[in-house]
Amino acid sequence: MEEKMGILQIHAEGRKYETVLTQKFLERKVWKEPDRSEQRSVIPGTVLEMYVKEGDTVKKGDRVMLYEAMKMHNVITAPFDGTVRKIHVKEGDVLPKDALMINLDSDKE
Amino acid sequence: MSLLSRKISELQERTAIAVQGGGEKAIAKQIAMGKLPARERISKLLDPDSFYEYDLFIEHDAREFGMEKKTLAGDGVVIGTGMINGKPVAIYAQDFTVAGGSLGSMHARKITKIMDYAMRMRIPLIGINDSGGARIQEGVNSLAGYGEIFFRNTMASGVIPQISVILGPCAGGAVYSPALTDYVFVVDKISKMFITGPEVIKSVLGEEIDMESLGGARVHSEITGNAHFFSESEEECFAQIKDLLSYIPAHNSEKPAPIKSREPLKKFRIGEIVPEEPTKPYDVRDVIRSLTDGSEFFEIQEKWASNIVIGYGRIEGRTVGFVANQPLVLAGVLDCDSSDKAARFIRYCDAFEIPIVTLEDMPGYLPGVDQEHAGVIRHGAKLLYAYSEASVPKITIILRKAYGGGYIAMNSRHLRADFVFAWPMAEIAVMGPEGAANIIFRKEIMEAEDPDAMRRQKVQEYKDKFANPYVAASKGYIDSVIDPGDTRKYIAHALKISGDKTLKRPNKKHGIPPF
Repeated sequence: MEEKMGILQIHAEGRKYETVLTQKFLERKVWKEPDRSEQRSVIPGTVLEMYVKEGDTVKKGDRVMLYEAMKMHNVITAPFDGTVRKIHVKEGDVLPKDALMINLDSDKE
Repeated sequence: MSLLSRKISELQERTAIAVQGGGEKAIAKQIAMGKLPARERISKLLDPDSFYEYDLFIEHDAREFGMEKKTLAGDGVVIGTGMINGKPVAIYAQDFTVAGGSLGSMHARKITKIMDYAMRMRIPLIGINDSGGARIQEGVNSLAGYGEIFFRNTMASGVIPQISVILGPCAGGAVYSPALTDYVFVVDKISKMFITGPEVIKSVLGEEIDMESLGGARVHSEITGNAHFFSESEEECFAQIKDLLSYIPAHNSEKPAPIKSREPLKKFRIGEIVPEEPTKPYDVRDVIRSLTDGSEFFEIQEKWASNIVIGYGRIEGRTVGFVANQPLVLAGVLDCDSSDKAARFIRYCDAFEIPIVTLEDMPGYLPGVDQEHAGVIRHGAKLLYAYSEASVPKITIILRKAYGGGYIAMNSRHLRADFVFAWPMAEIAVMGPEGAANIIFRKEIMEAEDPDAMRRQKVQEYKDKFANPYVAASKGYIDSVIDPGDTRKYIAHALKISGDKTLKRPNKKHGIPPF
C-alpha cells in the first residue's frame, strides 16, 4: 500500500488498484498477536479488591480480584496456572474497557 | 456368467473405483491431517446402514486446461439421504481427496440437487464442507455453482433446518453458504473459514497472521460468532448434530408431539441459585437447568457473546428456546453481539414454531465509546424487532433486575409477550436506584449538609418504593408475581394454553429489520 495525495495504491494479485479509504478504515486497529500474559478489563468498572500480589503463584480458577462493573461484583479468576509478574492497578481504580490489569505468566511457557 | 451377473459385476467394479475418491494416497493424506474421508463422515453421522448415495457416477464437464483428460470421482462431493435418530435427512459431503474438494459446475449441481430434494421432501439438510474453493479451471461456471447454492440456502431458510459442518478449509465465496444456513459446526484445528487468506492479507495490507488465528474454529466460536457449535473432534461434532436434531422440527409446519416429561434433577434448587444481593453474579444456566426436563440444556454459541445465553431445553416434553441474560459474564448487559445473537435465535424459533422462554436479569446496555461506535443502536434494535415480530408463544420471567431499555427489549408485555411473570425480588424500574436517586433528588442531595448521607437515604427511598415488581404489577405489565419454586409450573401451563395461539398481523411482503 502506498499513498499519494489521498489516493491509495493497493497491489493485489499482480495488479494495481487506486482508491480512497474511509476514515473508519484508516483508524482501524491493526491486529497483533495477543500477549497471553496480559489480563485486561473486558468491561469498564472499578477494582474493589485485589486477592493477589506480585510474585504470587495461582492455579486456574483462583480468585485474582473483585471487579465492579454495571453494579455487579465480578470475581476475576486466573485463566491458567501461573505466576503474577506485575500488577498495574490498585483498589479503587476506575478502568475503561481493555485496560491492562495484570501480567500473569503461564507455567506452561 | 449370465448377462445380469456380468452387468452386476461391472456395476460393482465401477462403484469400487468411484468410492475410492481421490485414491489411497490422497485418503492417507486426509487421515494424516486428522480428518476422516467424506463417506466415513457420513456413515458416522447417520444411523447405521441408513445412507443411500446418489450421483456417484457424475463426471465433470470441464474442457479446458487439460481437464478433459482427467476423471474426478463423483466430482469431489458425495450426496444422498439417510436417517438420524430414525428421522430422514438430506446430506452432502465435499471430498477433499478429489481435486481438493474444489467446486466445479457438476459438483455444484450435485449439491443443488440434494438441496432441492430436501426442500421437496421437507427434511433437514446437512452440508459437510471440506474444500479448497472454486475450481479455477472451470472459471465462471464454478462461481455460478456457488450462486445457485446461495440462492437455494436463502429460499430454504425458515422452511427446513440447514446445518453446515466445517470439516476442513472453507474459504473465499464458499463461506457464504454456511453463513446463510442456520447452524454452523466447527472442530478445533480442522475448521478454517475466511474470505481472504493470510497470504492475500499480507500482500495487500502487510498484516501478518496465521490461518488458525485468522479463521480457526476457536476464532469463529469466540470472536466472530460465525460458528454455533465448537468441538474437539469430528466424533464429538457428530454427537452435537444428533443432539440438535432431537430438539428441532424437520420443517416449518411440523409441530412435533411432546415426548415423555421428566422432572428436573433435584440438585438444581431454583430458590437457591439467584443471590438476594443484586450485585452478586450467578450462572443463569443453572436456573435454566432447574426448569428443564432432566435438567438438560442444549446451549448454542456458548463462547460467543456469553453475556446472553441461548439454547434449547424441554418443559413437560416440549422443546422451548431459552433466551437468558447471563449475570456471570459482563454483568449480563446487552451489547452489539448479544443483541445480534439473541435476535437471530428468536427468529429461528419463530420460523420453526418453537415457543420462547426469556429469563431476564440485566442492568441495561453496556456503556462505552466502542459500543456506540460499533453501532449498538442498530444492533440493539434487532432484538426489539425479533421479539416484536415473533408470533410463537412468548413467556418472560423477570428474575431480578429489569431496568430501562433492557426491560423493554427483553420480551416485555409491550413487545407482546403472552405472559410475563416476576419473582418477588425482581426490580422493575426505569433505571437503577443509584442513578435514579441522583437525578430525581439532585437538588436535595446537593443542598444537604451531608450529601453522601442524603444520597444514601434517597437511594434507599427509591429502592423501597420502586425496586420491586409491584409497581409494574399494579399496571398489569406483569401478569403474576410468583414463587421461584413455581416457575416450571407456570411456564408449563402457559405453553399448554397457548398451543393454538393465533395472531393477526398487518399484510406485508416482509418487514425491514435492522440487519
